[in-house]
Amino acid sequence: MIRRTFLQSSLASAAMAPVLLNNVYARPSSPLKLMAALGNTDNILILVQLFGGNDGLNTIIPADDDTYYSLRPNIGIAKSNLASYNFGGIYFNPGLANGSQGGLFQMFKTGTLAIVQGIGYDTPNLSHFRSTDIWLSGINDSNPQDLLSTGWLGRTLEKLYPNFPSQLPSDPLAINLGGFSLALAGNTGNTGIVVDNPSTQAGGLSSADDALDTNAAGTRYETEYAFVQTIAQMSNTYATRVKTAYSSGVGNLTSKYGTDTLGQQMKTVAALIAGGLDTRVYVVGMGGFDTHIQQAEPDGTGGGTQMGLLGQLADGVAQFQADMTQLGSSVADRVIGFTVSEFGRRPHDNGSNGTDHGAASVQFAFGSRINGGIFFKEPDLSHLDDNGDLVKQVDFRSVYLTLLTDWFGMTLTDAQTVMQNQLDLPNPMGGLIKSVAGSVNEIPSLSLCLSVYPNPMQGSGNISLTVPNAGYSELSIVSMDGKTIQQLFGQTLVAGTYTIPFATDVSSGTYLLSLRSGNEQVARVIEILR
Amino acid sequence: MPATLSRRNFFNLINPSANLAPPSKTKRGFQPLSDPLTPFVPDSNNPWNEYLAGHLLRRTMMAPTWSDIEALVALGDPGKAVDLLLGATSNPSAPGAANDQTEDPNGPDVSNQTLRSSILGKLAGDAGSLRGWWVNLQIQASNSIQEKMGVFWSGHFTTQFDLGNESDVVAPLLYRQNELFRQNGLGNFKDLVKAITLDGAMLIFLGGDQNIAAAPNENYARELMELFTCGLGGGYTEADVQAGARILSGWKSPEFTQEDAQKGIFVPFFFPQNHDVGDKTYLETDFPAIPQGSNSEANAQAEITKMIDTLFAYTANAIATFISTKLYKFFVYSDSDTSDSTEQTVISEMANMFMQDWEIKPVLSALLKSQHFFDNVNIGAQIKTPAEYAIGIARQLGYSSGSVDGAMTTDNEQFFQPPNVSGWPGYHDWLTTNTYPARTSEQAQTLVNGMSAQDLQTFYQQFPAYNVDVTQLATQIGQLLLPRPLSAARLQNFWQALAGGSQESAWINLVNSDPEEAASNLKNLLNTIIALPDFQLC
Repeated sequence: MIRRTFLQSSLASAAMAPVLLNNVYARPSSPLKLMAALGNTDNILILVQLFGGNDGLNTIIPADDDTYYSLRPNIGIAKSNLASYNFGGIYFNPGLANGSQGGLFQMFKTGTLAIVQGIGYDTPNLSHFRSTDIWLSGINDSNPQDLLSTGWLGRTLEKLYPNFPSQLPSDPLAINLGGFSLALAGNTGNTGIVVDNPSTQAGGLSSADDALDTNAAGTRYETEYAFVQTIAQMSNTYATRVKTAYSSGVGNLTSKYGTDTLGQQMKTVAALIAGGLDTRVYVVGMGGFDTHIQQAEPDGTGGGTQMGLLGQLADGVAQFQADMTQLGSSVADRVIGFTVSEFGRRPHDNGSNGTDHGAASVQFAFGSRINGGIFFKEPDLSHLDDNGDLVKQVDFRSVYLTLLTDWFGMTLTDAQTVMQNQLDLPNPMGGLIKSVAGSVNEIPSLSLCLSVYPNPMQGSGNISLTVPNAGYSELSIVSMDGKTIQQLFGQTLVAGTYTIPFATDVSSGTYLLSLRSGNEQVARVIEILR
Repeated sequence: MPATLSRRNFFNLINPSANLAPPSKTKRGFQPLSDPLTPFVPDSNNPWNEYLAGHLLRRTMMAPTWSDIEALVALGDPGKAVDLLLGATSNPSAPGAANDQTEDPNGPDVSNQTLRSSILGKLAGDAGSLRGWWVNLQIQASNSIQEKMGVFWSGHFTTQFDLGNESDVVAPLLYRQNELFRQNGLGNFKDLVKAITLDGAMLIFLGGDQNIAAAPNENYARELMELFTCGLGGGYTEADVQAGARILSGWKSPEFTQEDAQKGIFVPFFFPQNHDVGDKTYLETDFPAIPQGSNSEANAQAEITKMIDTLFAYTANAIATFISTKLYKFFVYSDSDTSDSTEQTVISEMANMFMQDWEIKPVLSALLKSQHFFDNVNIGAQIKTPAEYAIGIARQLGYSSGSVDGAMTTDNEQFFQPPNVSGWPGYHDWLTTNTYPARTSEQAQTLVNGMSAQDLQTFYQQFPAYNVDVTQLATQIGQLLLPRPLSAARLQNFWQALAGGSQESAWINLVNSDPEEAASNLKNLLNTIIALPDFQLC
């Protein structure tokens, strides 16, 4: 189905009638009118790969749902152990608060972290390798005969830089910390270079293009000879740039990064950005999430392998974000990150204090331009799929499309082209990115969206919300301990985007502004200063 | 400043088939292939020589030595050469770490930090010495595929030494697995699968020893099919993964001194209380419940035997194709291309042969003797793995064995430590803007520049032409170090580097009157060769 037709037909049924919200009339506006690219050209995306399949249920824990505890008799984390890691009824694995910056938990409280719940894809593939390929290629194709040989970011960079690689840009388009990621593979070769230790990035030997033997033409040898030459050229072209940017940037960092792989990789990325390297995509990653065994101690604390790994993730990202912040908004406002992992894990734990391969899970987006908060509802543990796994609420490609349009400034058509116009391509999730000014999100979406401006606020401001389908909708302020403090409205809305003034008399503090509509939920972290 | 790359190079890089098909065999002197596994028979156009013998050695060993090449050429026939490589077996004595018993670092004394770090140090030390032992076997190997088959299988039936979180698979178990590959690497594949299923190291790595009736661990049951035999799409379902896990439940693999070890440390055993005795359906085959009193090791083993037999019967085609493709990628060309009809015919013929009895050796023998294997299109087409590269320069240039393990680690291939259960991704992943500089500047250039005059003289004196004819010597150096014959332009560069100018006779004069200068000229030549793109190819 052509998306444009779908858009029009779904909107046609939504009457553009004004509705009364919180005693103010608001008129829904058409998303189509606002469909325009932000046109940012120097934005940076960091893709954080969590290899092995991170267990979402012990990452953001549905501790208010008793079913969770019956599914997790061994490694369930007791609610009593989560009291200090609860914000507005969102329970964080204690590891997520790790480190001197307070980790991802603290970032959530300050609005620079978005949690996307229930993210996955239809007919989930439980193979690490196929599912990793599906996530990194951006192609939901479980047929093992189909080779997934290009990545969604590789194709994106080729679209944004059509002269690559016949003309190599002066700075690498993308950098992989560690080995090559499929995410960066393009149709014309790998769009990224590999950096391990940037201070010693070397060029290697370069050789003249001497004559091949007379029988070489048309052989596989000729192909591979050209490949080696390309790698040698890229090594030589970029080694000095990377080394220079790193050495000039690293002195401007102030965060204390961990010695673990991810901590060091985040430090390298921070230094390269601080050093002015004009690279658009960084891919970092850490492994060890395949926790069939000893994921957590069977004592309700959650302590164990996964908590340690989440601690590294949380600290690495939070230290990085702190550095971006101190480098100033001209840097921080150009950088966001998004985590990916091939799947979540089976809701029912196994006998090895671990979990087997599962399906839908939780991912994080971070950065000063991220609309902090939570997207989608807590997992529905009483309606698992045939394999006993979580059913997805949002397709990961919805997030990709949002990143391509709202972050890289592509038109939706171009973004869909990059995603190879898959027949089952979903709509962009929307609502994830704030505009530079920090005002409400300018890119409308066909999924539930909620933005607040300004934030922090002195008790009044503007709320923008998008309701994709007509239905009963409820907007509330929720306290840190999960109690509804004030219901701002509860009524049936027609589909559309609304902007409404907003005032509350709740006391100073941090709250969740929670919007539920039909079967969907979205929440924003807001800070009230009086 | 942006460098300019030819568009064509990049196109080749990602779309090899574009320039491959149809390879014009007649142009290169081969008859068109009616049967791609037809043995290659040398003739006057394609004589059996140093260059083809070198090709065979590059693919079946970690780079040839000159004496290997001469020995194979002397056999006069590629068939005999393959038989020699596949027939040679050795029983190397076990490394010191093979029976080293260690306390569990995460055992009862876990709080004793001093003890714990000494245990962890010992575990890492044992793994290191096991790696060194294996590297040395490969450096010293002569005209045998045996150790390289071990590398193939260790990348297939993967096991990691370091499981993260300070837990390890101990070196004695890895040694036993390594020995299994050494002794059975060319044997019966179905038997190999049965053996690896109850291999002590594998039981630990893929959670088999934690797979219990109360809550089965699916890890091995899944990878057995997805990665080790039939591959994804082989015809199994998630329910088969779950049933397989239940069949495999109840085994233990004692690796530390305090553990229950009913048959001795390092010997897996059956623990009936943990076995799921219920009725199971695996690949549409009934595995009846085990009656009370019959829950014995023998019966559990019989259940696993039946499971593997069922798997091989149910997914025979998929297994044969999956393994044949993997052999093809390892020995012929890594970028397997489903649209290349010649290649697909080769693989399907291999699979047909393999399915008869699951014997590995006849299939590999047919492949290595085939016209397709020796086809011009495939020669020099593989990216050297870090093992082929570092062990290769150790064999050819005298790189010290102590440096090989470190170089391999830098270049992302550490034995017994694949990046994950699917093994090393290989092919283009081996060569990055990170490993290319390490391979060329850090490893080869340092080595060459560190060679003494004596080392260099020893090197050139191994070639029969060294004091006869400088162009012949240059040709022979090329035959040793590079995968294909030298072009005329290269040959001229090479011999002029040796002669230190354009007078051919100058080299012989140097050899006789100024061997120091001859050595220095050879060093220049070696520095030229290691910078050539095809020094990364084999």
